[in-house]
Amino acid sequence: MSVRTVDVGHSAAGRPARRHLPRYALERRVLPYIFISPFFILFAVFSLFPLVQALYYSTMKWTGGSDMTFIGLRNYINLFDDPVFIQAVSNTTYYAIGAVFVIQPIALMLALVVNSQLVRLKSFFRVGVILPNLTSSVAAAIMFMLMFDHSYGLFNQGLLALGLPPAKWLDQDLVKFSVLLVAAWRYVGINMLYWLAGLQSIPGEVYEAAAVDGANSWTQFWHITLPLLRPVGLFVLVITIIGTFQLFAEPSVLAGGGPKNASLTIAMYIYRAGFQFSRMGYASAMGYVLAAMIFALSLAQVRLFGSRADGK
Amino acid sequence: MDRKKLSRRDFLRMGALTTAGAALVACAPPPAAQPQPAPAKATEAPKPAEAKPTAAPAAPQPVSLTIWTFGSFFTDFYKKIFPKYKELAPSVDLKVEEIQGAQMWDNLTAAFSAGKGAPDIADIEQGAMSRFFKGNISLLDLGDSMKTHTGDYVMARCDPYSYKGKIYGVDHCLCPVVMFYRWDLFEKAGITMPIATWQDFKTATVKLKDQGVAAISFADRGWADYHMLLTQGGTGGFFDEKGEPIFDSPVHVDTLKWYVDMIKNGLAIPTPAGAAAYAALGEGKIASQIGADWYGGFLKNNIKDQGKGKWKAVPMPAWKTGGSRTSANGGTGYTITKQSKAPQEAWKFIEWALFDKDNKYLEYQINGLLPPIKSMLSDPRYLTPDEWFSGQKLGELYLEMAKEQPRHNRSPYFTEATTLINDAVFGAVSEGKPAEVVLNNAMKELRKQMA
Repeated sequence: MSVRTVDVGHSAAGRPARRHLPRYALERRVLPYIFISPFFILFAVFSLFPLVQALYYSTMKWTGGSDMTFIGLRNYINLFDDPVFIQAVSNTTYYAIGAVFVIQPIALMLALVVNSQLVRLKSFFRVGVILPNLTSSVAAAIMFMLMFDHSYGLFNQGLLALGLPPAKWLDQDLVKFSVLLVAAWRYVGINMLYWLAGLQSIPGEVYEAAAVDGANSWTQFWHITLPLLRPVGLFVLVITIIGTFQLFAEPSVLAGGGPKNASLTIAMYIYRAGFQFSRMGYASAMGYVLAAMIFALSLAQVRLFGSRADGK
Repeated sequence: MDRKKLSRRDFLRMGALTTAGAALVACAPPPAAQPQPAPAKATEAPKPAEAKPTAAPAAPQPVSLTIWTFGSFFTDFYKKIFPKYKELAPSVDLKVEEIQGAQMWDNLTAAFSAGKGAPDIADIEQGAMSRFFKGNISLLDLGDSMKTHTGDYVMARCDPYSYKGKIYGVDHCLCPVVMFYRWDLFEKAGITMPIATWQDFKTATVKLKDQGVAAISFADRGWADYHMLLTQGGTGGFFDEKGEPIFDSPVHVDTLKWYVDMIKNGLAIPTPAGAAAYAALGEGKIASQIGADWYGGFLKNNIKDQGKGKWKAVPMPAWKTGGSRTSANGGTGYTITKQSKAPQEAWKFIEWALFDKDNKYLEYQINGLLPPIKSMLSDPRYLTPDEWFSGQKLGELYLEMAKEQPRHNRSPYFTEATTLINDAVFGAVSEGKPAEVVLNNAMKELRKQMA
């Protein structure tokens, strides 16, 4: 049996005391770290290292080959002078506002309906509403692109049947709305599940007590349901902002970011700059700015709504 | 730090130091791709081997070649010819990897950035080529290798893969642009085809408009149709030979004005997106379309029986009498990467795949792509009548067009230019902005990006 010598502190006389520990005791101290190290190694290799490397690249003028020139913060400065980037930020903000103020209320409404006593076959509706989220975003966007077609699309055929003029769904004026429509179809279901989980966590006794006190449905919803849903609401709001700011597939397939960048998102522009234009340094800088925006918005939401959610 | 105990803090400290060390090592720029030894200069592809008198040659070293391609129509072709090549070159092992669509360009970009992982041979689609012209080009110059083929190969097909006089790719196919048209609609309107010039086309096709049919369609937010028309006119496309953008020149402005005019006058309509375009063509709402030979295949496969026997093809109207009646659109080039450990063998395979007539006919049968080699085009196998195209021998038309295919220029900023031209075309067609304004704005923006 091999033995290691380990310092175990000081003796009463002030001199370091040594105790010979058996090997298995040493392994007991090291093994837990070995067991948790895979996560840290993977995190370091696939998350931390690329983050640090991207920060490095963001200070470079680099086409992806071996020619790298240090330019400091020039990429970041150029971003705020780039009209395409500004438009991408504006478009992304539009999608985020739409996601928060259109998709979430619809999701909450659906959750309220599915949660109500009047609806039977709740599981069927839950599965049905979540199905769009399970489809491929590219396949869904292709399908919607066909439906949005000006001459042959389903939506315009419906408008014509109602005696209304056909709309140019993928032109500059309506393309963002069309992207939001696709996003709503796809993401309402999963958000409904989050709200539903929140609704089902509210104790029924609270409503009973309110009913006894004479509160009607609207009063119960406004004064009981909404306040008690605040923690779920905060979670949903944060992930909605994070998800929307990274929107890529739907605007890319529907309209290629156009026409004239009218539907371009920041994530799309990062891909375009990095992989189509080979401006890797610029794309890295954009990535960091996007991350900073998401972080700032998420922090603001947690600060503004988080304390109220905790009831503090 | 107590060296005998491993505290949580110590463990995390060691982990952070290790990660930081790895980050510092990896943050160093990747080493420049080392071109492999070749008989000629390091940046050039190997010259064709010369016959030498001799003693028995040493047994060839085994060589493994990897080909990256992006479509099953190429993969199927390679898999069919690999066994034949193995008989000719037993020491060469060939492997093809199919990476779908844009993922392949991303993978190539990553491999070139990393300095390793790139294949020997890469099929690069012409539209994706320009990104690989930026910085240190990671592809071999095939100019010397092509010298023995310039008489027979349609050299205009190297243009999408050429930059500053060097040829980095050699196209699989000819991609001649013609005008596919509904002969029954043109006949009903009393219009005789082919039409000599675009001005004559504009005049003659008023009769189609009177019958409620659009003579042709052009993209209202895409660059390709505009580029085909520009190239046909001998402008060189969007760039000059030095790679400088020229799309604010008078001929570019006039071409866009003509394009917009056709749509404004109702002679042309904006091309519907995706499947809707084929629906409109199939229903006879659009009477003609310019496109490459492969586009004829798309028409056939998408319109199907609804269009059988109603379509034919003729040369494009020229911009001036006696001018070119064709252009080029699309294409995929064979390239050899600088990371290849056997560039000579890679070129030998490409040369055999491209210049062997049976191989090219096999490729034509699989993917419908005509060989860009003049002597092959008169092969009777390409001259059979096509029932769908009303029994026309399209090969005869393509053979004629191969002689007229105009040259054009590319630049590392071709992708940026096409993105800006998309916006310019949209601005001119859909927003009614003057052609010179949209093209000037596009030029200014491109120069900013090139700076």
